[in-house]
Amino acid sequence: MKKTLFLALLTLREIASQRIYQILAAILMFVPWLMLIPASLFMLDIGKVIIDLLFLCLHCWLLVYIFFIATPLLARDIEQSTCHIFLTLPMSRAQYFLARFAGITSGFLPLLLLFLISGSLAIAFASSAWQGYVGSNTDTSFIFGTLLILLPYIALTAVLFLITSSASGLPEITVFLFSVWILCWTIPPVLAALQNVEIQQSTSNIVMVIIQATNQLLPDLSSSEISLAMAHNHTIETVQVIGYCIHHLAYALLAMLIAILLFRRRDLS
Amino acid sequence: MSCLEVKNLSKIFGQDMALEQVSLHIDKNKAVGLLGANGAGKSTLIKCILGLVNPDSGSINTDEPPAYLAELAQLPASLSALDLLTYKCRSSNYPSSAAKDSLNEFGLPDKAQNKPIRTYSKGMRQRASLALTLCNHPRLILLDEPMSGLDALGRAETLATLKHRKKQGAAILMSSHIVSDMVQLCDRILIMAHGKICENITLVTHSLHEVKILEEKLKHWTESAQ
Amino acid sequence: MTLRWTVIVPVAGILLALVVWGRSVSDIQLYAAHQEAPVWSDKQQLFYRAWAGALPGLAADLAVLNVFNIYAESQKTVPSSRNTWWNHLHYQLRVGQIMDPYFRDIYRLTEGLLAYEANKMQESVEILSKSEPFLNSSDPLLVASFIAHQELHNDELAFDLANRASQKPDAQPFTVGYASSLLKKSNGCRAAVQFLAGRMQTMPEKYQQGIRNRIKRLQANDECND
Repeated sequence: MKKTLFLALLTLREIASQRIYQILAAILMFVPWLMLIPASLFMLDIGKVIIDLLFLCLHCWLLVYIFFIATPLLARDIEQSTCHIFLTLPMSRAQYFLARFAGITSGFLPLLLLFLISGSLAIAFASSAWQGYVGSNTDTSFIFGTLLILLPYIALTAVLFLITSSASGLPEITVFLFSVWILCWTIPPVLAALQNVEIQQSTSNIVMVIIQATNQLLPDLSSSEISLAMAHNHTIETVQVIGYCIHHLAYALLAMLIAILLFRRRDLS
Repeated sequence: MSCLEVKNLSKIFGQDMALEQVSLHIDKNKAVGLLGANGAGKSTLIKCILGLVNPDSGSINTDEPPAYLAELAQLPASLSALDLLTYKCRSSNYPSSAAKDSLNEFGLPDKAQNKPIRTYSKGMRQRASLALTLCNHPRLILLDEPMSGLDALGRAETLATLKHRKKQGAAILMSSHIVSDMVQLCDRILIMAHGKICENITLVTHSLHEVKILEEKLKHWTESAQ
Repeated sequence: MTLRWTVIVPVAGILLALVVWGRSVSDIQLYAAHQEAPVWSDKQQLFYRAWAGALPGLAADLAVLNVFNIYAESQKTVPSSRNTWWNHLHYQLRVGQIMDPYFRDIYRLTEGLLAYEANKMQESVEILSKSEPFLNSSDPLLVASFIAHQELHNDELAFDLANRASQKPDAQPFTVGYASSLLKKSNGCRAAVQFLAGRMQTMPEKYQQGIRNRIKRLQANDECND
């Protein structure tokens, strides 16, 4: 347990000392304020537009973090045998994977905090500048929505470990992870649209089955309805929120469990 | 007293027999050298002992977990050597002060110790790797090309340190292409080809004459492997 | 850390059950079930949803920005050749509505630009009337009713829309009165001017020209001058 904790902390330190991470943190401090410029072009729902733009920023920096910080870190561990340093401490492969996962996941938190503070301040400014056009609960919705949107990305991080457990290096990991992300991004809203009876009738059964099956296997990035609900200050039922959180965290743990089982049997030659 | 005992170890990668019925043992206060052409199975043997590669058959017994210096392992570039060594010392219940001592022992300049590893020269990286491997005073040390990237002075210092560790009771298994370094440090040399141990030579005089004998034998087995 | 199958299998089973349960209860469907037959090809709607992914609201925002752009571009051409622009305008508003049917700017631009600049009354009524399941506001329905009465001369549809508007939580006495006035088919012209003047007050100045022109045309009517 102690070894896992130490490696998680070392991972966090390793990530935090990377220039791209520091640049990302700096960008997150002022980007929410820049979002006020395009938001000012709108007429009635300015608060909603600000939240839309902030969620766009959120998705972007989460992806930058996963693809440009977490993925190269893990790929280097495998490709350049850096993981040997940790595994020969000795440390079990399960401990190594869990520690790296904990470290990478906790690397989200400082950025998240910066983003939440900067975003909330920008919303507070917008509320005073455009009274009546930015709802009083906009900042709460923004914070709540941000935390909910983060969860699928934790599941995506677990998928990164699942891919890394048997991949040979950076190109392979990147291509597979990008494919997974594209599918996760596009399939859930399409499935929601397919609930329309008329669209169902015009779509073949095989296509429906393939889409459904793929959706069940991949992490669900379907925060689209949550984004809409938060942007318009709609309430989401508690059971839905709990189900959403449990679903993503359980998916992440399940993916990590499979990743560890695969990684345990792998030859690190 | 045997610190490491390997019996009948075999490993196949696809169609290639990487290791075939390899057996060896290393006692306390002893150093064993692995010589062989590229692809002879030296690194695979070391990785099997470390548990990085799962052997198909055979057994490996060690008194305690081995410390390892990998040939091409890259240290995390954004961390400093001191960060990395402090982490290792804390993880292995060793006082954190041993990190700095170890870096000083391997001659990494003070001002470099806190800088990111990406700013190090190749030699400095190798010194940091050696310090990392040996900072918690392991009893069994596995070294894969430990002199890679070191200048003449660095090689001499490293050899001296390893000899000192051997005297203190450590068992060393070292793979290298530099025969003269191996002769200075090792008590026995194993020559590998085709995944097998072909020669087991006990060194007596550690002289230039033994270097020449080993080089001739290595040449012979390398040519036969081709 | 040793993983045993006796632990792994039940843990994996529990996690899988939690994933399935979580998915089943967290299926938040705000509007998909309310979607009516799309105006454009259903396959295209799927494409839009796919690229918008988790950010349908942003897709609606972009559609509105496109509307601003289309309007600005259309003003550079002579009025007689603006029809292509108005088709684009209608398309973007429909995209915006399907992506985020709660977005009030879509409805405001529909009544301001699509109806009175582009003169696409039928299309405007369609978009405005589809706000019903999503907005608590009676405004879009009321405007749709007004357009149906005043421009399409379909009093049956106008009354239906006004009646639905009067059932909204924010419905003003005016809405009810307007609905009843439609039923009596009286005071059409004066009420129209009054209504348009009311709508104009909440419209940004740069988009008021179309409504102002309409008021002028109505005021030129004999009935209004009585």
